[in-house]
Amino acid sequence: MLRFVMVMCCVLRAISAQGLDDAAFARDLAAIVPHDGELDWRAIPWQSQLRTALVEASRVRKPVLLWAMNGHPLCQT
Amino acid sequence: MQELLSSFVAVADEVGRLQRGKDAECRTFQAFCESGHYGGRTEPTDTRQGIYVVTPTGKFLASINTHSATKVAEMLRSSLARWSELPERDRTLGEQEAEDLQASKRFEDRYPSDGLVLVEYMRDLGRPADDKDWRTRAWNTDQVWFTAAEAASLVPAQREVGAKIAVPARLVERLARFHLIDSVRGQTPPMSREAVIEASLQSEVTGVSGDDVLLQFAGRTRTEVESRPVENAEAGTKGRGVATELRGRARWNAKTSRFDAFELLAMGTRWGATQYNERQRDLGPTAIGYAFVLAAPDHPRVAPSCWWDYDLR
Repeated sequence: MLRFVMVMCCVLRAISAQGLDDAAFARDLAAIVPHDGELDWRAIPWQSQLRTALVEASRVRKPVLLWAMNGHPLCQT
Repeated sequence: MQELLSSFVAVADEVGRLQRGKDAECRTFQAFCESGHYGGRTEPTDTRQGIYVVTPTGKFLASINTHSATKVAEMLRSSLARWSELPERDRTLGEQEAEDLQASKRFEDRYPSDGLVLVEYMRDLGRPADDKDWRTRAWNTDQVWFTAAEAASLVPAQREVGAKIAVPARLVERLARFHLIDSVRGQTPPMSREAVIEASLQSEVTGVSGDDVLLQFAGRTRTEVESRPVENAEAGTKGRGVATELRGRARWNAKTSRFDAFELLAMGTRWGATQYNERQRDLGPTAIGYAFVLAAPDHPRVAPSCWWDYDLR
């Protein structure tokens, strides 16, 4: 994901929109998007819906590990 | 831990819908969560959030709600021991059960594959981080969905440099009410329509090259609402709000009718507190920043946090 964001930043820098301070924009963007160390939990191949995980687990004969939170853990908690 | 996790199908999901829904997926959760760590609990809340291990048929194996990796690992190992003792029939779903699960209704079924999906990130700005206080390092994320028709409405019909349009008000209000809220440290309720003081966004063509239409965005939002007193809050908290300046850039492909690049920033101030956003002692106003970037193809397809108020058209 982070790599994708960085590539998109390069693409958009190339666009060089008139009236937009590219350096300031890139700096502000980088101050908000998470950096590598903040996304380690994504190394686990989380599925995002219980229904599909149960069906997949049945197919591969494994138990389901469910992380259930108020607010979707892969989105906003 | 990674090796241990390979013995499971790992899934993350939102517990509120699973607790209250009526379909097969929710009924499965409701059947096993009462066997877990919060089974039967009603105070201080009736939440059943936590970490569970179950069979594909929904048979409970183990659960816990903790930040301790050691305790989670212990729970996972104990669940595997129980799993190994189960007969084969408990390890697989019947054909009808699988069909019923797949037929469960979710907002994710409306994922706008042909539209625009942005990943949102938010965090406090201009404040020093303290290693001993997670709140100073907090950030949160969400997704913003636009249908194909809504995405197209962000682009001036006139494809020439200098052409401008005001982005439809209901789309800017979607940002202001559901996404430009203070959830940096924890979820906060969306803003009502009445709370929107200002929500404007202008889209301007800055370049045209073949099928590519380059755009820049500029705008402002302000939402403000009187709110109920929050427990443990400092004196003087009577309301909450967020005010931002928006700026961004994007590239629209006129041939595919899709954005292939999109970045939008909203920077400004937030104030006030809500029950779960950990601002009781940080009423502000303080600086806050939001970034919206194009979702990568492999980004999890998860409903926006305020999906129940979404009005996709």
